[in-house]
Amino acid sequence: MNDDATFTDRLAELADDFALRLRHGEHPTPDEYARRHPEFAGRILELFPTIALMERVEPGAGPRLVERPGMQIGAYKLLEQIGEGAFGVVFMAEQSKPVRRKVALKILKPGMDTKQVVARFAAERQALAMMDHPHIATVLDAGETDSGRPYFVMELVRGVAITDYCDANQLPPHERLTLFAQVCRAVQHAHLKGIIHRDLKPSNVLVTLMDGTPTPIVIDFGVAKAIDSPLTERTLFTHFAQVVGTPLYMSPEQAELSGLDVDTRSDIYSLGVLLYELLTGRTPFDRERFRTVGIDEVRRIIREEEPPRPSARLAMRPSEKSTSAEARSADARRPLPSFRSELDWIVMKCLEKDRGRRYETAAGLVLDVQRYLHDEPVQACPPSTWYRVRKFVSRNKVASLAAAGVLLALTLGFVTLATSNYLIRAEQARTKAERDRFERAQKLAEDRAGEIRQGLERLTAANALLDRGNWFTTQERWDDAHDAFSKAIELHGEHVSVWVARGDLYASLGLWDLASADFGKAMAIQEPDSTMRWYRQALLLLYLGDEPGYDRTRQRMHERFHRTLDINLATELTRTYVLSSNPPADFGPLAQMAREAKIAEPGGWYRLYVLGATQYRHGQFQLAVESLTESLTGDPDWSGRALSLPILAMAQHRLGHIDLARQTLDKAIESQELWTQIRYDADRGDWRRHWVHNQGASAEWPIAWWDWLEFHLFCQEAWALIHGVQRPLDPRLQVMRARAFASLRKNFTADVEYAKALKLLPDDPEVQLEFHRSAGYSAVGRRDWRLAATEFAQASALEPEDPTMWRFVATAYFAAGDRDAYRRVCAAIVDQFDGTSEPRKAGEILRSCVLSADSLDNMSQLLEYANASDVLWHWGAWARGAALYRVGKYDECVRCFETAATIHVPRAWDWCFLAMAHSRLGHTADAERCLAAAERWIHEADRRSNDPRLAGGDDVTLTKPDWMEWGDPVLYAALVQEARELIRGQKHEATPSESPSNPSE
Amino acid sequence: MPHERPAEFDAVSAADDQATWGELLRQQEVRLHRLVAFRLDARLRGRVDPADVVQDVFFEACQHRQAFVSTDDSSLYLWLRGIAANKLLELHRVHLGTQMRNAGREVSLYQRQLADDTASALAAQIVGYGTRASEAAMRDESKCRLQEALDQLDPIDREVLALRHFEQLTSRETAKVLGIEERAASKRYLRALERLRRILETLPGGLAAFSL
Repeated sequence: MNDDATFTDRLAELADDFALRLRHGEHPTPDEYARRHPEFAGRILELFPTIALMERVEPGAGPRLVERPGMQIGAYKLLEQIGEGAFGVVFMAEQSKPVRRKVALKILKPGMDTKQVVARFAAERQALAMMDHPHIATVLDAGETDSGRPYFVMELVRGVAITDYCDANQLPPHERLTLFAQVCRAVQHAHLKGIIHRDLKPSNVLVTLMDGTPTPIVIDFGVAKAIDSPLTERTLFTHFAQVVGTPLYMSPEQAELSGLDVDTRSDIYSLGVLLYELLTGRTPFDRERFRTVGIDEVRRIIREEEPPRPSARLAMRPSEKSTSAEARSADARRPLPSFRSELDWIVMKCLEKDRGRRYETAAGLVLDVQRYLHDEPVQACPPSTWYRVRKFVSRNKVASLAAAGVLLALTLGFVTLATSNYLIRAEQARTKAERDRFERAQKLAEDRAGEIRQGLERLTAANALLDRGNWFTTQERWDDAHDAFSKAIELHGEHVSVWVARGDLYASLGLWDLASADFGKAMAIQEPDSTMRWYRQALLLLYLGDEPGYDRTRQRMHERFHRTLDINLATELTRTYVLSSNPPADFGPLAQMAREAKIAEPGGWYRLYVLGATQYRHGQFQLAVESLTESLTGDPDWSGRALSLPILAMAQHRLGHIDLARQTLDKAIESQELWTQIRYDADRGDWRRHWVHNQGASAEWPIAWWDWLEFHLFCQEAWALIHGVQRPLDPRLQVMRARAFASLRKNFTADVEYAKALKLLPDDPEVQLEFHRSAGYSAVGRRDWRLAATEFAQASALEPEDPTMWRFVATAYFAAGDRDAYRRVCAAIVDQFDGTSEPRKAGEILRSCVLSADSLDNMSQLLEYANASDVLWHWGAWARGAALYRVGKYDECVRCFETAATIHVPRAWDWCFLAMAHSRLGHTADAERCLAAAERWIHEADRRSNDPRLAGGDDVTLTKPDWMEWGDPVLYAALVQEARELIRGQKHEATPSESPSNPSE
Repeated sequence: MPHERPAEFDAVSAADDQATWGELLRQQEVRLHRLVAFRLDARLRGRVDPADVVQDVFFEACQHRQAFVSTDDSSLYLWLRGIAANKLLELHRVHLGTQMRNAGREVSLYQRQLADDTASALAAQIVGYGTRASEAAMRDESKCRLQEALDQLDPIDREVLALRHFEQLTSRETAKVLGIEERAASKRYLRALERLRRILETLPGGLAAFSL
């Protein structure tokens, strides 16, 4: 045994060693090990070749780049690879139609949602097509490769990066500037067409020789926009390197990750960096430094640090120590000649952190460059010292003493600067007439730029909303997601993605009619390239009983895809066909094709299923039975295989196996029952019930929603065939529909749908409860507190064990100003949960009863629950503190809230009770301070809830003032009023401890 | 191997500066990349770049550095691997959503079987062949054969081999991940190798067909 163990250890060690050496690129052989360790020779010779094999496997290396010269991508045939970078690979390709020509085809590396990239490009396409400029290479097309990556097709430019060209030819500054001016004009042209480049850098500005003249060509317009990743901090962080390639050319507003706010002036900044590099051989910030510091530091540098002026950079280069390869090669180059300092100002004006201080347009920049070239005074001038001081102080919130010292130092420098400024101004004044002319031209350009920006802002805002909506969806906050998508549609209704996103949301909630309507809108804007979208829309239409709509969709899908060679597309096309129980006329040939060539591949449940359905529709019942029976077995054992059952039942029925058919159908119905129940139950998770963001639906499907619908259709068809009657609809579907509306906070519609559900299931206490709860919510929406109280009370009566519903009743009566009813409910809650020590119940009792000073006859009862309330649960802490106040333990109340504040960010609730407790203790100043904090909090929460950009918030951590629950605004208002009366003595007529304010005021 | 706790621990707590920590993380980059590339669902491969996921893991690791310093985890790599596992789950959840349920399998770092997809599941590339068409064909065939062989293994054997070779875990780390003694892990590994070898031998041409 022991020997055996040592043997294993030893052999394992050798195996490790062998594998490690392979990993390090050595070539050890099993023989060599066998010779050195004869005692293991047998095992080594057996096992080590397998180790070597396993080490040669590169896991997940899958579709690294399957595209190769010779391949066809869309209308383009790849000829040769001409470039490769962080973004992906560029091929020279040949376009065959409509014209035969050579193009450049850029395939991006994975990491983006291809569909979105292509969609975004499509949205921009028209604008791009309007660009026509000799120094712009147009992006012609975008699409998705078979391996699922986005690609862009553009005019083929054979050139080198502008910086490389200038260095290789050792161009003097003025020639560099001439090239640069041409670049600016190209960018200006694009800006006038409403296109922002967003990723201007040397590798996107190529110089090519046209008739012997060096000509710069700007490439990749529209690409950065299309591959723009979602705007959350996290995704931008991860996509940082990939999308933008390098932050070196990025404007501060781009680096800010706000992303919402990029306009033409970002391109001006990037042009500034480019000019800087053309003049000095370096970027304003050090490439190597960016590589070594963290992302936050990079952002800080771009945002805050002032780069050295270009001429200063040139001067300091020899002394600058750097070991980077780039720096060495830069030093090895012939030193660039110096230039006049006006050029510094031009560059620095482009690089202003505040974009309002940059050139407003690229045209303005060109004019200044030309003025420099013609030895005229430039418009740019050094920033005023006062501006720099202000900026410095606002950036560095240092002690005022230190700031004052800095100010002094800067003021000393100011004298010399002021003198030179004066001289410049004098010179500029001489050419005033010229300047006026220029300013008029610039004003015009600015106006146009403004218009363009507005349009862009709407699109950008729509995209941002789309991202927010998607984020909410992952949080299962359907109402917020729905609001975001709907707003995006309002902003930019001709955007396919916004419709698709909302349609997807509807579908996942089971709102089929709404989903289908949105998908229809999306398809009207642009026909999808994905068969999945066509299939789903056809399925939805058929399910909704719109057979002509189904026929049209299927027909169009057929026209687009019937010649496809892709087996997946063909399968989906076939699947769409077989949905209908009346196969259309052109079905035969397709079925034939599908059977013989496409879906007849062995293996896979899905293919067998579609094949079986096809055979069934084709009248080949025996074959259908065989395929479908086979589809029911196999690995993994997936419950979704039951999808085959209803079709199998129909096929068996047609073959005359009546009993067998019934048995099969029974099994199908059993699965359907099970799935419906799972779906139905998923909506009922306890925690969902009263959570403000989630009143009902879970969007959790036991199988995908389209599978669900298709299964439903086939089950209905099979039932009608086998039993000769239509099967009645499951009433639970109606309940689920009502829940879906409730979870979208469409309270009124939810009421209507619940009423329908209640007709179908009049005796179901659960549906009754949900009905009343929903009615309560919609009454809340109308601020009809009394009705809300009544409805919540009915819901509560159906489930008296639920403390939250009790609290809702109490809150609603309190809000309605009905103090008697409120006190009755408080008494009833305490009765109901008498002596409970369960934290949640205790917390809810307290939250109900602390709203006024006289909610119970004996307020000291609250103390008992205060001790049971769980302080770690945020509401537990708050409820307890409030209770301590109500029972007169002001000291403890203050301590409780102060402790709570170390764990949770205080809300107006905390501030109010703290204020009142301090006041009772005679701490007047503290009381006033806390009251003011409460008022601020409420003000901020109101502001946030009224601001469409903030509403809903990304923030579920309660760190920002936001209304969490429907009762919050009115409760907090009442508490603030109570505190004001106590502290400031407003409304003197009653002693505060006896008179809670009337909250309905 | 720089994966044992004491040295790292000191380095992490002593050198608070980002650079040291960054260097420590960077040493793990290759293995993490392999891990992510391998565990990433085949359906996400066109959409998610493993390098981005690794960046994301580093980002998280930087934010929660303190958590590592105070954890009992003895290996930085395993700690990062845990973060990566969560990231992957998150990604799968977000990207696949209902499809995950659709196909009836929850993706878990520890349960994902190699053969849970069709032929491209392993998406393995057997390196060492050129790119000419004939060589590519050979490579594809080898890939299928290896896939076939791996498919026939017990899940636990497959997992051990994956941990050892695809994720490049040491035997100590493998033991930790599987929650067993190191010696037992070695034993299991040798046994899995042996089983894979036997299956490969039964395929036409045996191991020699891989032209090792």
